[in-house]
Amino acid sequence: MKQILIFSAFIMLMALPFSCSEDTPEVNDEFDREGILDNVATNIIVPAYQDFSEKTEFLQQKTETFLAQPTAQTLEEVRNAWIAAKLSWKSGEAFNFGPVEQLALETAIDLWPTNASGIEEAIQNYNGAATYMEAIGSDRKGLAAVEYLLFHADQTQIVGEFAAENRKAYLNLLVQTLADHASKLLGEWENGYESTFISNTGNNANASTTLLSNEMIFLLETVKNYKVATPLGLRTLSDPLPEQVESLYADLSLDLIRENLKIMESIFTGKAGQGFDDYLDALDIDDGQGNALSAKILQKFTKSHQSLDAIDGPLQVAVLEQKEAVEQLFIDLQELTVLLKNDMMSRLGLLVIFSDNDGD
Amino acid sequence: MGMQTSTLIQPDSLKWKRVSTYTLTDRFLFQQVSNAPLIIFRLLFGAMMCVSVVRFAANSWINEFYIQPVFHFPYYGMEWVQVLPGWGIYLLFALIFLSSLGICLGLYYRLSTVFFFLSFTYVELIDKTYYLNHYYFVSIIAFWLIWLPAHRRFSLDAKRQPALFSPTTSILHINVLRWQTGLVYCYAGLAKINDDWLLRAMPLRLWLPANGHILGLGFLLKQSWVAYVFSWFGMLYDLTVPFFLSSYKTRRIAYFTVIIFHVLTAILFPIGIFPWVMIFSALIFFPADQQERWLQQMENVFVERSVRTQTSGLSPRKSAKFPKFGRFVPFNLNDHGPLNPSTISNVSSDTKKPPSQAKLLLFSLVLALQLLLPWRHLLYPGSVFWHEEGYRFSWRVMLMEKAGNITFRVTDPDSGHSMYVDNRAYLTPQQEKMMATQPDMILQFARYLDKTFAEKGILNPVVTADAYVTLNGRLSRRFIDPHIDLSAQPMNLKHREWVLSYEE
Repeated sequence: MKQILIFSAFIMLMALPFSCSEDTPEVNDEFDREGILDNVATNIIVPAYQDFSEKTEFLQQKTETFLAQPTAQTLEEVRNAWIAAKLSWKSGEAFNFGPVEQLALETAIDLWPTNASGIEEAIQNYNGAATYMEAIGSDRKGLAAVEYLLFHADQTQIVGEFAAENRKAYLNLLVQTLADHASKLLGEWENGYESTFISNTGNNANASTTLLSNEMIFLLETVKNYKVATPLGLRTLSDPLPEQVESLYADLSLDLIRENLKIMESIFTGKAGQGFDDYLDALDIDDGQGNALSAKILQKFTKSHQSLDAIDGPLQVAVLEQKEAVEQLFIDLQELTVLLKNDMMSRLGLLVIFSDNDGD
Repeated sequence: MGMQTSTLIQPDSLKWKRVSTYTLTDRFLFQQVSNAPLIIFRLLFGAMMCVSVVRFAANSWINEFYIQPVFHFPYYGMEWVQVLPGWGIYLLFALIFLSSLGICLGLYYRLSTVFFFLSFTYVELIDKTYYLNHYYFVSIIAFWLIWLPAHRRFSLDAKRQPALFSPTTSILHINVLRWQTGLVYCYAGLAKINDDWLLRAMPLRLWLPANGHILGLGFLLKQSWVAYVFSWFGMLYDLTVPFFLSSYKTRRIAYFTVIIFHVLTAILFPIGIFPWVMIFSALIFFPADQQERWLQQMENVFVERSVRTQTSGLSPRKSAKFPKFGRFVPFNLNDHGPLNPSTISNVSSDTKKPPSQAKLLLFSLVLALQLLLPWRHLLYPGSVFWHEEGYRFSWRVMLMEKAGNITFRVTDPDSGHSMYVDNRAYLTPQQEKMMATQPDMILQFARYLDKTFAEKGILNPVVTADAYVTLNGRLSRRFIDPHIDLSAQPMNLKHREWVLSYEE
């Protein structure tokens, strides 16, 4: 006993005087990660999947109307339904974990650039089998393939093309599969995964906070690298590559980026509820110059939105005619990446890694 | 000193010494004591390595770390250590497994230790992405085991060749492991004496709240004063625990804190097997006669009685009567006096030979090298945390939170076209993450890009980098001079001027 006392007294006496000399304010210990997960799951993720499910169902209805009677009018309606579904998925694609990952649906729902000749080939070979879609590569199906079918030419030509039965059947199958995927994902979230997600509050590679934050950053990097830098020609030793934009036929690329930015900002702020910004504030984290890190990150979101709004017209034209404006967006996204991926992650003690490994 | 000096075994080579003088060299180097500490160390080390390899394979890390990557980051001067084709890597890991099993069972012990040391170290040298201090520790221990007779008892070798058997060993063979373990703790403690660790409680202040959910201690771990206590305690603990483990009076409680400390770190941080390696390694500090009793209990279970009574030279009752020193001696070693020669008279004479001069010299050199290596960062200007010049192989364990983001830009000087490189096209996420904060790896990758683009037909590509790094909770700042053509920078051990200064 006496040894224990001597030993611990020695250690404690040496440690205590110093531990009292700290000058920083106490952190708010009320904060709980589960709060973020609960709020984001309930108010952001599940509503996003609900919306996508509704939008794909609506797309399915409009597709049926269009296929029953292909006219300029019905084409316009199905095109608008597609736009709504595509924009909706730009929120959904921020959550590439859980059901969407287990069911491997991410690329089946949306992969670009799409393969035009591949789609035509898939239409030619269509054999009426119910499982036909399963054997079709992701660059020939999903939202991007529907875009090609509905938007790749002017209205008259598109309406004319849909006289062919194979084409009708293929579009129908594409849209039906999308609606199936959407309702399946929503079902998984509503029947179990939501609570699994909220309760997995740990800090390992598979914990929910790790997944949520990493996928948010992954989406940011996807936008920066593939949706902006690639068409600018910044990822090849070449001039701009306008045909590499996300929405080549519907000219929707800039709106899609805007939706991506909005959902990332929503995850960060948690909208009205708790988000990563509250977490940063609860730990009283600043930028080293007295400003809250959360405010700095929000400013950068705002700046990115401004740069995006400053770009006129379809992105495939802008990369040629307003190169500086698009480059400015790239620079803002780059700076946002550093703030989120380095500073936020590091200071919240979150893992920036998609695979597990020991540290020391 | 009141020792039983007259009964000390004095080999011929030591005749120049007066038999009645029980010198410090005898006490620390030549004294014959029970070899139980060595045997137990061997068993545990071998077993841990077996488990560790199985865990590594089960996590599919062999594939992920050594087969998937298209590029690796070799160590400077060791670039000849190349990754092997898939089957070769699996073979290497099979060799690590078999040799660690050999070490554990004491089967073909010398061969096993040599193979284990070589194969394990080879794997570690392939890619510095995976550098961990405890892998370095394992390599060093493996090197020691080659030279230590840890197979002369409770081993399949001793069963196959009874002539090998010995119940004793020169205390040097046990002490090197104690010094080695103590050195690791002391240097880990010294490394913690820095502003961020002591005055800002960094990085624990970032890491502890992140683990707030654990053990229901969340509310505590979020308090910054807790981070300060952990930081200061950690530093003092590392600096002093080998000494407390060495003293008879404090050993038990010190070992108890070893268990608590490492179990706590195992729960809080993803540090794999390291805590277990340290918990088991620290057992080496227990005196030989005490471990002799543990080993005899194991032998009671495993070795047939007839064999045991024939061969074991020590009786527990006798060893319990060895006088105890209360006196404090660093890293020792209360191995309680020499053995009674009558109890070991049936042991072949060569096992009683003291370690040769060559062995002593080798051991001294290995220890001296390790005493010097951690100080090499003093040869470089600037912060070792920022520049990481002389950072590795210095027991800087869990010492900083550093994260980076790096984008390389390759420019074709002819056309003026330039492009950003997708790091993920060449590196795994783990490699990218480690490279982003370590200048030597940044340079290696830049040179690889230079080569890759030159092969694509671009004459003298220019490789620059936009790199931002955050260290211990400070806002990210530029890490690399963005105007420098990294592909033209030499690979050497000199200070890297193109890493922007940390101090402003």
